[in-house]
Amino acid sequence: MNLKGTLPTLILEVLANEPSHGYRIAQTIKQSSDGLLDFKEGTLYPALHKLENEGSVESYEGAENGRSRRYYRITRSGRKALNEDRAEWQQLSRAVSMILGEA
Amino acid sequence: MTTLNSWLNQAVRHLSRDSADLVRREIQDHYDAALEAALTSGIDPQQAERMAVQALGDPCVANRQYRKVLLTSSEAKVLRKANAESQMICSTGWIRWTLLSAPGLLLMLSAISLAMHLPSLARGVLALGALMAMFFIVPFLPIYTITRGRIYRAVKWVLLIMLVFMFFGKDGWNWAWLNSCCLYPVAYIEWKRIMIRRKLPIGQWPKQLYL
Repeated sequence: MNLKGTLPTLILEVLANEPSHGYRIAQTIKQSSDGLLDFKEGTLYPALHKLENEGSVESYEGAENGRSRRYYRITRSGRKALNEDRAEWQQLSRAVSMILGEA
Repeated sequence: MTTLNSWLNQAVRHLSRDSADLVRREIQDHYDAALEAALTSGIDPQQAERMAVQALGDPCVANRQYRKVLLTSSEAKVLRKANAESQMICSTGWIRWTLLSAPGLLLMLSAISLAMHLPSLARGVLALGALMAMFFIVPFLPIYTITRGRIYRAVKWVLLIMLVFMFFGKDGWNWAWLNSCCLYPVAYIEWKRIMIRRKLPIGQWPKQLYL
């Protein structure tokens, strides 16, 4: 399933729990949705750069198993954007459910 | 490995050297992590490599998305050239003072032309002086904040269009082809700067992006 435009929100949601690197973010999204949300991993990094340009996430160099990795963490404005996205998504989801429920 | 290289070559097309290096590094890291995870779960190495590249998706799609968020080679060139030009102006004393004093001289020349009953010449010289003042004096003033930069850019464009009409008078539309040719480089640079402003965090803006 490909939900266009939701990737930045999903990334922020993952990063709201803990700072992470690209590969782990991709795996967390896939595993949390039981593999239902499948996106091409090459598109993850442009989304991360966009969030970084907007100031929603910041990156830093870290290490995992002795290997240097670029980690991303959510910023205060990122948390604010995530809360807004959540509210918007819940509204949309409620509206769609109401329509489908009536059909 | 070759497959990953060809994926990367397509994904970094038209990106600046720094952007391309960044993409190569992060995708290589991602690929290594994916490969390691696949090998740990007992998948055949060749199949693991294929799967890791396949998971990255279409490199052309990634390239389109990267070009929206990272500097392209043409944008990096605009930044580099403008940096070199401003360094050249600021570090060469006589060029700086010539550019700074030229608008004042042109204003005086315009007043003299008007006194000599040459209104067309006075108008043209005044337009040239205003243009030079806008492009060369204002950048020396403290306008390097987001709001001031926005105001400067708006004023610059309004003034530029007004000056074109002032210079050509009623024939402004007849000379539209010439104006378009002259304004094209300015418009091109401005367009590139708009794109760069979207891509770079404000903290990393060089001074020229405020102009």
